[in-house]
Amino acid sequence: MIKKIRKYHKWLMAFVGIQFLIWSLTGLYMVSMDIHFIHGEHLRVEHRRVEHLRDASPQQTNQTLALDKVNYSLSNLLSEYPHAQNITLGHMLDKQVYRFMDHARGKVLIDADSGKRLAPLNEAQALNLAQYHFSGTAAVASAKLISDVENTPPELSPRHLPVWQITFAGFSSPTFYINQYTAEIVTTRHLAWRMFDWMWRFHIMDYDDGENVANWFLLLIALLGCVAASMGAVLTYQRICNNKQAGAK
Amino acid sequence: MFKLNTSLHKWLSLLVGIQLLIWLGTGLYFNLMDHQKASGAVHLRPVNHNASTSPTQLIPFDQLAFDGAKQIKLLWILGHPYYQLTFESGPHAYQHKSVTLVDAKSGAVRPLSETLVRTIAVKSYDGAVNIISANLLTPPIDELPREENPVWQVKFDDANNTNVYIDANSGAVLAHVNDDRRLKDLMLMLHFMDYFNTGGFNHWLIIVFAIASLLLSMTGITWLVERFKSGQLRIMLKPSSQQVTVTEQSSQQSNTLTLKAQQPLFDALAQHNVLLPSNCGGGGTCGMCRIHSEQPLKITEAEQARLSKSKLDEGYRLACQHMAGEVTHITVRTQKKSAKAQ
Repeated sequence: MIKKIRKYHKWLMAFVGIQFLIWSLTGLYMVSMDIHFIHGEHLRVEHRRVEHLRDASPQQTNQTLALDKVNYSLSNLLSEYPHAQNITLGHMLDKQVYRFMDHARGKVLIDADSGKRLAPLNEAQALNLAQYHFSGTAAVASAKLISDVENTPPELSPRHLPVWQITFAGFSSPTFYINQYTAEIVTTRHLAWRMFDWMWRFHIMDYDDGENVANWFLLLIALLGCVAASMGAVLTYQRICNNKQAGAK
Repeated sequence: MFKLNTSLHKWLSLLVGIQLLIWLGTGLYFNLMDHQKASGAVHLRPVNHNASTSPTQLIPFDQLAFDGAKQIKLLWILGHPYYQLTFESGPHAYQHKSVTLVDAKSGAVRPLSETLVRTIAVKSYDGAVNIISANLLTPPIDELPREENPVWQVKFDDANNTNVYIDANSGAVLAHVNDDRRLKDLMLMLHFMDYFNTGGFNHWLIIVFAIASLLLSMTGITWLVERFKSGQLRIMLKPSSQQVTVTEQSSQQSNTLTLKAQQPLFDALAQHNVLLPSNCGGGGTCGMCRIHSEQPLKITEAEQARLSKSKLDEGYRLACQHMAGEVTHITVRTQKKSAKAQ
C-alpha cells in the first residue's frame, strides 16, 4: 500500500511539482510585498512645493479649500449645467475646480474662480501635474496621450480613458495615468506592481490576461495536486508515526 | 546531502502539510465557485437618490461654518441634498476618513438617521424583506474586516440571512453580505491564513508558511531530479526483461526470475513475491531493502546516507535505488524470513 502511494506521489509530482514550486514562489512574493507599496501609494504625494509655485501662499499649496475664493457658486453651476451629477469641489494644482458628470458633455472640469470650463489637459499641463504629485526626484522619461482602447496598455483599465501616461525615468519606471478631462491621477504603476501582476497570472495559471480564475488548466492541476499532496500527507504520517515498527507490513 | 534533503522534505511537510491541503482545497473552490452568487450581490440593485431641488435653495459654500476641508461633494441622499466635507482620506475607500455630512439647505451638521438608513437598505434589495435590526457599528467590523470607518448594518429576515452595510459617511451601500458571500469570505480567510481577521494577506504567519512551502517544493524537486538521474523516472516505451538469479540469504535457495528491466529492483522483486523489508515503500529513506550484488553497481546518494562505507565496499546496495536491468546475480533477505529470525 505504502509502496503504491509512494510511487503515485512520485509520478504525480513529476507532472505537477513544478506548479507547486510556482505557487509557493508567486504566493511568497504576493504576501511578503506590502499591498499599499504594490499599489504605488508611496509614489504619490498630495501636494509638493515645486519651483513654479514658490510664490504661492500656504493656503494654496496645502490642499485645503479656501471657500471664500469660490466665486462661481454651486447655484451658478447648477443653473448652467442642470443635469450635472456627482459634483465635487477640489483642487487641480493650485486651482480650485469643480468636477462633475454631465450626460451630454461627459466629464467636465470647471474653474471655481472664473466659472470657465477648462480644456482637456495638454502635454505640458499633464507633465506639470505628474511632477507636482510625484514623490520622487527622477525626470520624466516619456509622455503619451492614450485615447483608444486598442492602444491601452494591459496595466490600465480602459474605463479611465482618455489618459496621459507619464513615465518617470528609473529602474522601476514609475508611471502616472492622468485622466485628460478630470485632471485626476487615476492609477500609478511601477515595477513591483507589474511583477505582482505576473505573479498573479502564474498563481492562477491564466497566462493570457490573468483575469480568469475559473480556467480548466488550474482545475486539472489543482485536482492532481490535491491527490498528490494527500498521498504526501500519508507518507509523512507513515514515516513519522510508524518508523519504530519494523517492516511488518 | 540526500539525507538532509529528504529529512527536510519530511519535516517541512509536517509543518505546512495541513495548510497546503487547505490552500489546494480553497484554490479549487475559487476555481469552481459561482462568482455572481459569491459576491452576495444577487439581490443588490442601485438606489436612486437624485431629485430636483432648485439650486437657489442650496446654501453657498462660504456660509458653511467649516474650515479645512480638502474636498466638498454635493451628495443626494433619497432626494435630499447634503454637502459631504472630506477633511482627510486615504487612497482606498475602506481606509480611515474624516468626513462631515452637512444639510445643504440649512448648513447644519446632519448625520445619516436610522430611518434613512432603513429606507436605503430596503430600496437596495430586489425583493420583499423585513428588517430585523439596524445598528451603527464602529470598526473593527466582523464581516467587513478591512473597513476603518463607521458603517450601518441592517439585518434582513430573508432566507439567505442578508446583512446590508451602508457607509455612514455617504449613505452608499457598501455590500450585501449573505450566506453565499460568508462562504467565500471564509474560504478567502483560510487561503490567506487570516486567522486574526485583518482582511489582508500581508502578515508574518503566511510569510513563514510560504517560505516553508517554497523549501518543501524545492526539496521535493531536488528529490525528483535525483530519482531521474538514477533512472527511476523514465517512461518505458519498449519494455525489456532481465534474467536475475536471486539467492535467499538464510536458505541459500536460488531462483532465476524474469524481471522488467526498467522497473526499480525493489518493485520488480515484489511482483514475484520476493518481499524485501521496507518502511518507506521504496523511497530510499529507511535503508531496509538491502541486497548484495555480485557485479559492481553505482552508489546513489541515498545509499551513501543509509549504508556504511564497509557495506558499500562489500557490494551491498538498496533495491529501491537500482533498476532490475542493472543486476544479474543478487542475494536478498526477504521480509518473512527476517521477521521470523527476530
